[in-house]
Amino acid sequence: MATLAMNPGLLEGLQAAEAHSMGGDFSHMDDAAIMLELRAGNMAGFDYLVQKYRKPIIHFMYRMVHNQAVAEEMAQEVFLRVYRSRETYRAEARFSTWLYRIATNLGVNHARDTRHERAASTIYLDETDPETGTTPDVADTTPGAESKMLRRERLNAIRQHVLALPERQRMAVLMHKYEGMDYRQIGDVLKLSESATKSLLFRAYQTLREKLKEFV
Amino acid sequence: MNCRICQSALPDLLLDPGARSKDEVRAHLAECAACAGELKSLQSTMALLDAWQAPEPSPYFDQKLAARLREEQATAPAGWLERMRSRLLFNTGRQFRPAMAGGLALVLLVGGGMYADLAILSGPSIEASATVQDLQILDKNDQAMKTLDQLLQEDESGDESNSVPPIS
Repeated sequence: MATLAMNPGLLEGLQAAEAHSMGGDFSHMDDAAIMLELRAGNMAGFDYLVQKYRKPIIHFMYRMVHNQAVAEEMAQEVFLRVYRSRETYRAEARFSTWLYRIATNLGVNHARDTRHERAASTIYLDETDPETGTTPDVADTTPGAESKMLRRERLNAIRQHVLALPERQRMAVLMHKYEGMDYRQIGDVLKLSESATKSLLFRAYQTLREKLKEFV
Repeated sequence: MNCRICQSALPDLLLDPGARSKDEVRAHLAECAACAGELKSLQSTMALLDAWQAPEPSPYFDQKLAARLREEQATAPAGWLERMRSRLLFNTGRQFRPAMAGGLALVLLVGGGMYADLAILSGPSIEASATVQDLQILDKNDQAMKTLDQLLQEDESGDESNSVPPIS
């Protein structure tokens, strides 16, 4: 105590060292190494991974289910599964590959379970579209209403045709186009070879080109 | 380079534009309006998809996740079956590859052995030569003649017994 009183910098040094080991400066660490920290009981590692992947995973789920509340609930489930699997996690593949595999499985199962519900989607005229920030007014006479309507129509067409793609093509497009993943990593997530993934993606974009040609 | 070869190179150009560019393909695209148009239309489609933006996460996401995590920590740890299930579903499966290779080798060995056995059992039957076959036919004919003779003799003896007049 006397030493600390004489040298207060020592206490700061100790606190910093503790923060590094328990709180965690994870920015220089590999995700897999952070998972191993979590396995050892360091919950700060889990918080770091959540903060890092929260937004991309929510966006990925949102584009699959097109409902923000459901997407966030499913994203939470993805992270809970990561937490549950901390004991069995093996650093044999990239952490993000593993994470997107969990998310893809959840998304596919949800899509299968709600196949019939999605066919009859409801539009609320007084609710703002989270993507465009506009309301689906029936007779809007304000300036720029036409361009807004056109934008909405284009957006609906994109959404509709991406979601109408076959399951694997849809997942591959969502990961490639919106998550910025290359086809090698997508192949790892979908358990496909590189050439198969490339071909899958190319066919998906060809289909989308045909379906969306009036908007290009 | 022709259009067909260029078409097969389009996925690489579209999906991996940063990769080592193929000069031949680029040269063909500079000359061929149809192939260049094909690539451009696909690139435009990809650019069009940018219009689909996802909303920002809600500010309550972290709190809700923390609450669910606390619930999770309060419950009993996952059982052996659940852990195995998650491992099978989400892992790459690389750890099972040696076992799968061993299993496949075993199946091939057993299957191949069985096939070889069956092939030997159901192999081509041994056929007798023409001479032996002729002799067999003669033998059968001889047996048939003997049987016929026996039948005739029995008929004749029966007729004789019937022709004797009754004693009055």
